[in-house]
Amino acid sequence: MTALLDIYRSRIKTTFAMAAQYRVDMALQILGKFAEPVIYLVVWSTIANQSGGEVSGYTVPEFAGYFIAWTLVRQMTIGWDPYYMERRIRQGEFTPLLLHPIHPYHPDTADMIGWKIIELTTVIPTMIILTLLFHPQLSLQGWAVAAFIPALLIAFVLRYTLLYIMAILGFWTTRVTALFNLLFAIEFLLGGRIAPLETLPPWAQSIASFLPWKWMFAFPLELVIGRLTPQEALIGFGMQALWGVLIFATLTILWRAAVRRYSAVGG
Amino acid sequence: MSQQSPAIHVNGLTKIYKVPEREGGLAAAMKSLVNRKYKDVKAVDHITFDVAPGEVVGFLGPNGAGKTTTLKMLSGLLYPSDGAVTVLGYIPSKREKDYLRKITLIMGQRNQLVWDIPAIDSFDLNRAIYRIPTDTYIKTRDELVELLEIGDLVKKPVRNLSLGERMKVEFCAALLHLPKVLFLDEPTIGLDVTMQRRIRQFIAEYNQRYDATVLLTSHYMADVEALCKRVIVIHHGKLLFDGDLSALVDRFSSMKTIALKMDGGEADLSGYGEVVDRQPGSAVLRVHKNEIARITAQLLNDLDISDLTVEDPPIEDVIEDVFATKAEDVAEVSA
Repeated sequence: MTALLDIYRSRIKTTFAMAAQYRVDMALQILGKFAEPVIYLVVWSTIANQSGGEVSGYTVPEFAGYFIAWTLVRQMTIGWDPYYMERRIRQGEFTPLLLHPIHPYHPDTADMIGWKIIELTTVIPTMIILTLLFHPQLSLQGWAVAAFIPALLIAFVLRYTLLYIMAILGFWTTRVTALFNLLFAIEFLLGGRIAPLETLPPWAQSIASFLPWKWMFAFPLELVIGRLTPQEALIGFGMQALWGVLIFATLTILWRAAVRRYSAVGG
Repeated sequence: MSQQSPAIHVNGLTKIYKVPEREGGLAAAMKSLVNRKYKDVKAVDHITFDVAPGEVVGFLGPNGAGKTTTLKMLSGLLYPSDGAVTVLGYIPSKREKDYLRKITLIMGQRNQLVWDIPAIDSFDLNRAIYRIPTDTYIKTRDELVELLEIGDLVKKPVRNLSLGERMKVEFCAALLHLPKVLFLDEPTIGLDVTMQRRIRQFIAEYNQRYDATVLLTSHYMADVEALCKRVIVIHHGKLLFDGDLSALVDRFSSMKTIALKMDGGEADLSGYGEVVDRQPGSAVLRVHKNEIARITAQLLNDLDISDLTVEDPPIEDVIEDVFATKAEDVAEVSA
């Protein structure tokens, strides 16, 4: 365990060193982070105003609260995009990683954690600016804010690992991107990304509860803005645990098969 | 070959790739969507050899001969289709962590260092990955940095290094865990002559200092001549030759060269053999090795020779002849 922590610590240090090389790039990222929630906020505020000040139980200031918390959840749950992983597999960049006496998942995850820590320095100012501009209404409760931290961390691990699994499919087909685009469209709608899930029809909300994306995005978000009861929060953690078991079991099985596949065909 | 158990033992090693194939054109492309055809390609065909601990062996063959495939099987990256391999007593395809900590594979055209940061930061990551105790790591790193003369390079971002500088830094990163077996795949490819020589010197030094076993592929015969007493030649996936470098020349070259220095005279030398080079006062002839004694005596008798040396042809020429062997002839030669 100490050895694994040492790998995570060393990899995060490496990521910090890389980020320091790209300071301008980091500054430009703030602008990118700002754009998406602002677009959603403007659209939903307009719809709410035209519908008598409320849509599906969300007032304009509550939409503001949702999308400001959204900025944090969104940024903290981004994983490797399969385009990047696909390129690594196709160009043989995985070869040296497979020679290391450690599963590539660990240094990759550590790298991603490093980026998260760095990105917090741009996400938090973005949230402050959005708060000043859009005056959100939040019902922050102590227990919910405390529960939000593990919920967000688990959400990150789940989403990151799910994307990693998709990337591993690159060992069989070098065109994982098409599958990713399809699943991303479902996630966009049924994960709470484009709008709060409560704005969807009941049947769509039921489907969302059976899919993993709600528990990787909407759940921690709704928790922190105070829209969940303690009982609903417990169900949320239970669903995260269930998906955790499924996702890690899939990763383990798929990885073994991927290495066998790679060993058979080369790269 | 010494009596101790070999560091590398290869017996009947075979690798068959399944390669998709189709005709050109749109119709064939559409057809292959539903009915894909595969062809078996035998990249490595029942090769057998041992390498003793501490030995440096040149693994030669033209492009596509099966060298890299063999090295990948030995390092655990590829699963053999048939045959048995052990390296340091481990079966590479099991990819045990203890095994991976004892070997390294350096490929001249691949790099493992993080491009945007100084190499010294990547070294520290390798320390953690290979679980090298900090004091051992510092000692080894400083030793390798000194041997490779890269003290001022390791602090620069890798992307700012020249190809040769990057290769030296790659070597350092790949050897921090002091592997006992080195698989080197074209380590000097694309480097200038000076840098090639430095890398060669380093490999020799590492081999002697750490008693490491080295299996090296290279298209530069200077690498092979400088480092390897023994060579294994593979061609069309089959083992063609395994023995001393000098024996390779004896086996595959039927010709020798005679260098002459003469006092004056413009004598016609074509009757003695093939004239390879002719200068005023000197000449080089190529003669069949069975004829050497007779032709030498005849030259000394007929001409006013001040110096005469008989030499084997350059190793490059011999290897070129070997590589020109056709697939169907390989089985015959290697039988």
